Amino acid sequence: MANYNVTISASGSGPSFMLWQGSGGTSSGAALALLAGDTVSFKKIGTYSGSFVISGFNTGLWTSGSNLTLTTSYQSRTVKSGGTVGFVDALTATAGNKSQTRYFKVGGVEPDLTITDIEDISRENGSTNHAITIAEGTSTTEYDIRTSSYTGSVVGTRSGNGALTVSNIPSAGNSRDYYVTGRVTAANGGSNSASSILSYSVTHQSPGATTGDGGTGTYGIQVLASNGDIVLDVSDRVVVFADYVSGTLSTSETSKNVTLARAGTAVIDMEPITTPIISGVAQRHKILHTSVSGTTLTIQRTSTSSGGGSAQTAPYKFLVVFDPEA
Amino acid sequence: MGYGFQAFSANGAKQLDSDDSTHILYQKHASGTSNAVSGAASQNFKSIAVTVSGFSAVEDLIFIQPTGSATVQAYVMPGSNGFTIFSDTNVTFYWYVMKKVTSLSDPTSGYGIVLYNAAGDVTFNPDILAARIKGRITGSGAVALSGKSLYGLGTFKYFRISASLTPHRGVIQAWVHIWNAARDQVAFGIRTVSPNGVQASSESGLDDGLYIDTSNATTLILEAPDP
Repeated sequence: MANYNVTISASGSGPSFMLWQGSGGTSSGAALALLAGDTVSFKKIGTYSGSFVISGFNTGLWTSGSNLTLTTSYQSRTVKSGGTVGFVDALTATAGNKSQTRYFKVGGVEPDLTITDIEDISRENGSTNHAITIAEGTSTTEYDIRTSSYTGSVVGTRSGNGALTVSNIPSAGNSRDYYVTGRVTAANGGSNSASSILSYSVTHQSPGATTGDGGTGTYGIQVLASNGDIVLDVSDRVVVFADYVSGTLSTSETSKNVTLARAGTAVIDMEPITTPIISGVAQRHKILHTSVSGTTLTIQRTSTSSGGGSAQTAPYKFLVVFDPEA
Repeated sequence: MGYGFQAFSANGAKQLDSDDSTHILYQKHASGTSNAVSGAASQNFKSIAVTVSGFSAVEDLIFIQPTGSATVQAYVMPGSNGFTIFSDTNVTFYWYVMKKVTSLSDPTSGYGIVLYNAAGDVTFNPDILAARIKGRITGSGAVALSGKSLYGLGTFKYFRISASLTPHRGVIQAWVHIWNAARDQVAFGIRTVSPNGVQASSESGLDDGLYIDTSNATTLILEAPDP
């Protein structure tokens, strides 16, 4: 730990002059770099007898943020641990009608925050983790994965580049944002303070359901074409037409039920939107999704408008087929 | 049912029913092999269009299977004169288009079982392939069958459009079929299909760009020979 001395001299009434002597930069770009535990000691000299104060202690750099009233003896302030490397603080000494400002900053090695983007992830139902890759980072930077925010709980850490399996995932059917921060430990010359880098999302897919074929047996119908290909077999279920529906969701509708001619199982959007992003805006008012239960087809959208736009109608054309089960 | 014909699968699923005018099977209208997708890469799907004579966007079903032996992800968007296949792999695709049997020509072979309903419409044609379901998947799942004969339904549903602040950008995710290299398994799940999600210049732009729908999609898996 280093100690730096600052002496402020002022003399005369008013005073007639004031001078900052010792440590401190004269501009933010020339700020004196300090490390955690370093101290800076301040005292006054000269004949000026009025109030003599140093203000501007920011707790982003110092352990105390209160002003310091100078005396003729040194009084010290200590640099906090965990400050963000590069954070600059301006201290101003004021004596009567005179003042001077000097700059100090959190020193140390800065984390490399220029890692490659991490794509959003979709995980199969039942997963318990997700994997990401840190690329184009630096080996001395510790990359933390956090939940909730850039200051949230750390759920995974990796030094430098490479793969990282994070044993954290949202519950089935939900998404969660993860936040990546970077820091350099004191052992590597850093402040160990975390800096924000980027976020990504993980979606845990809903439970799926798989139904097999028409079963196995030794009786039933098997039809062969002339070339020997099986046209229909006892182990098959068959696709049956249910209905074709077309219409429009009104400007106020985000959901609509349509009664089908017969029960349906699977729905095919016959005119899905092919340009889902226009001018940087997801066309969510045009992106439709469906569910079918018996003869009720439910058509839904997440919004009646794109971001900031007015409500719009949404035409639809859906083909519904039926998968007969026993 | 006082007369007529019914057939059931081994586990009791109704296949044919001459007495139910709404039980209209899907059978083969056309089949073929597409041109190869080009320029595709992982998480960056590219497309190839297929034009089908007599295609009807109000009833026709599309089923596809990739050729070759790579693991392939793909989905289909129907169109007015056919369909477009999107894939992460530069391969050709076998395809089938199925129509309601009532929209197809009558059988001509002169043998086999032909089924009619009370109106005299053919409701089963023994000359052409029926849409033979080997599995149905709602949400994530997989269907396996020995051999290379599994086809996935041509259906499409967006799952998520994400947004990131510039210089990063979001992605587009959708429900896709995933064939294994042996072609004896087809899975269904959510994958990133495009790296061209929203690139936002502000926090509000992030909100505008985002879309997500966590509801499950449903697909059908068919068995069919090579076209």
